[in-house]
Amino acid sequence: MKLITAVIKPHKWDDVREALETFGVTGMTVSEVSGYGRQKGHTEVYRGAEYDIALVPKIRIEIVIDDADSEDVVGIITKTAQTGRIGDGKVWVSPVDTVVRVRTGDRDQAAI
Amino acid sequence: MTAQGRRERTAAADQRCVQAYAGADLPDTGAALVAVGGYGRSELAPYSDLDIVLVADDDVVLGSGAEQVWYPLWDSGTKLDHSVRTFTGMLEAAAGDLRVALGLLDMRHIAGDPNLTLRLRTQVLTHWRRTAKARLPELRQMVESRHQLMGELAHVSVPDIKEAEGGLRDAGVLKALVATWLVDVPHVDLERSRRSLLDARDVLHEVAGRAGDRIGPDVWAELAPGLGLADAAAVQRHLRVLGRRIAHLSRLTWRRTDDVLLRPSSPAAVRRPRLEPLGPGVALSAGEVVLAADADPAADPLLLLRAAALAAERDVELSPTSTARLVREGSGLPDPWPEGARQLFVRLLAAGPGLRAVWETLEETGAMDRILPEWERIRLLPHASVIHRFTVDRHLVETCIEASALIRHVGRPDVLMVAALLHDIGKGELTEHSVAGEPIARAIATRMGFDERSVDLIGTLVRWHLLLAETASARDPDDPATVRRVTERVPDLEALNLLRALTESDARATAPKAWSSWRANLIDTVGRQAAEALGGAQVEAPAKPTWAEVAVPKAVRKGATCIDVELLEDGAQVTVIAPDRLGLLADVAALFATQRASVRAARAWSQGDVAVSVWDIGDAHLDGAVLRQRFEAIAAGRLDPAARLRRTLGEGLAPTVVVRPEASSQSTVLEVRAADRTGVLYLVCAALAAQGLSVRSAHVDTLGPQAVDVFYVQEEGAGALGDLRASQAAHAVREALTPSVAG
Repeated sequence: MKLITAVIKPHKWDDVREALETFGVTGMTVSEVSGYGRQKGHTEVYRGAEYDIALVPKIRIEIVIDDADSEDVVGIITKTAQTGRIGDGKVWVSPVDTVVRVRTGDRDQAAI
Repeated sequence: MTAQGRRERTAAADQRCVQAYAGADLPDTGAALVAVGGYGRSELAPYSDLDIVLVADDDVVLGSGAEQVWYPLWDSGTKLDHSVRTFTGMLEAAAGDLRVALGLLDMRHIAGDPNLTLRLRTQVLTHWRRTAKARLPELRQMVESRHQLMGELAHVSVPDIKEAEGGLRDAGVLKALVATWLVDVPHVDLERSRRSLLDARDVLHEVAGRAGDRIGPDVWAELAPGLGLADAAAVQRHLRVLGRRIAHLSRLTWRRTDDVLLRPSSPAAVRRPRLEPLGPGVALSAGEVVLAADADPAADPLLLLRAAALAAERDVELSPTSTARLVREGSGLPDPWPEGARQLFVRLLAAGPGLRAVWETLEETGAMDRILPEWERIRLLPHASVIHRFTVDRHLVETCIEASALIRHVGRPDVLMVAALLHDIGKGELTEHSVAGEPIARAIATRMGFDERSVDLIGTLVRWHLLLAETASARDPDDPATVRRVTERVPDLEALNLLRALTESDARATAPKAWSSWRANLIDTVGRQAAEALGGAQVEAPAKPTWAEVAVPKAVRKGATCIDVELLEDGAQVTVIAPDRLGLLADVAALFATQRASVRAARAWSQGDVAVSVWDIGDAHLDGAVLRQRFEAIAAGRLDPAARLRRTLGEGLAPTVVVRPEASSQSTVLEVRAADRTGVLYLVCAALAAQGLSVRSAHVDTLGPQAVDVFYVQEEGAGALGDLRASQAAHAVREALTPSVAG
């Protein structure tokens, strides 16, 4: 099993969710996060106050999935979230040892 | 029909209880079965529990008789909430637990010794009255925390007909308040609303097939046939109107209770009504804004708005009786409104949390029809989206309250407040509400007497109030088309700033979660880029005003000061011409401040070495001779205005002082936004004079609760200020206006 984590631009969230649902991903964890990548550290003045715009709003998606589906899901997220501009985000995959469904105690494949 | 149902259910339950009691081995005297709470009031809903107490005199032993009462009732499937208590135990329970005390107020005899019930009832009521003053604060807190938890019946999306603010529980509390003999309520009004709510609860129980008082989104329609109403919308409206009515009565009664609790116990002090004058025709009495003795509603079309604004700003009740009289006898507002009406209306909207209760009184007394007939369109209208906490009308009022905290961020607080009030006015139609709302908002703004530019701003804000939020969450901020999408629709910086403030207020009023720093960041990213595209991240100062040359009297050439007063219908125009000197404008401002004359607007400029200022004063009782005398005293230093004026600055939003970029390099532009209070202008001018800065020209405007003052200042010799000097000047002005430092 793999944990797929994706950080994408907020406006792409609806498209990505739709594409993942079409593919058959049934569940995911989504959070509103802020962060920065390579282009960081500049400030701007807006409405009379100086803003540190190093932290850019992003959406983070986390999905636990079968090894076999992992590449497909990464492909779907990458393709759907792409605008070609700076700040499109990142997707990474990490191995997962065990998954337990809290309600039933089911483990691993059965719990996904 | 359902009232009869309640009687029949109660009678049937009584019969079961009487039989059960008769079958038990209990003494003839010294024991009784009493009903409390809703059952005590004979108001059983189809699935209500029976609240009953078996009570016995302290020296009577019940033995197994008690259980013998309950078994037949349990066997018959009756849902019981029962207890067994001694006479003293009952009184102690009432003294110790407010909920028990409230339930016992509705005690009713069912079976056993009627004398015991009578004695108990008398004791409970006497005790309640005797201890009321001590217990009411606790009751009030209990009620308030319930309100916070449950929301208002009139406005929350899934209301609880019993526990919500304006629900059955509140009606019961009102009856308990009346039972203290400290306050009274309009009984017919309360009882009518309460019975209608009871009817609705009966139908709700029947439809749901169980006890439960929450009305889910799909239940409204099911209630319609039982209540004899056409559809879900009619049911919503019916119940929300009832909830609004009870909540209103409850709020008024609590305010009066507070007043009774605070009132000194000496009877002499009670008899003298104290009236504290607040403004022309308006006074404060016993915590309510009322009409003064000399008020003439027929001759003063602004009276209603003035009373409302003053009540909201002080966060006190606007007397419903006075408001009703204003509706009856008052003259309507002319079309278009005079400027004074607009100013008062904006002050009302920007008053903060005090707006809620006052707005409610305006609605309940029919005064809203006079001020804003279009309000009826969205009154108690439910929102389509479940994310909303409130119905549309209440959401608009909440948006105003949120926006009132942001007025220092915008140059046009009046436009912001009116747009906040009207942004959803187009709801309830098939057309997209922002599209439907724009023409309505424009028509209202025109009637309110706004100029063309302001009407355009309000129309744009209403039409595009969702633009920033939608763009930020659905468009790529790095795509140039995204910025164009905003700038094509909101073509200038002032409008963009206003839209940013409206977006935040709207979201905050929608739901606490609808505005987070994450979301603010998202929206500001788009706002910032749009601002840059519109030509800079700062709003430019208004163009330097140009003035017609004024003929300078010969006396002024010789060093005298000329003060000329021209009385107008609702105020006065005062022209001051004097040889220019450092601190002159501060002295003139001090003159009006010490006279407590409110400055509506002012313009000041220099003609060579002569300074001219024209003041629009909202006070028709100015006397030129007095002004001249006072001015000489101030100019000669015999009268120090500083000492008495600084204290008049109260709490509130902090002022903003901004150095604006200007096209010409002749002078530096300072823009000051602060609460509109007597003496603000004097403090600003004095602070500038103390910095050795001369004011070349100034433009002072009052927009509702906010004074916006623009000063073109120069070094005393000549020329614009350096960056450091400019920020020092801004700092000095800010300090002068901040109470903690100035006080």
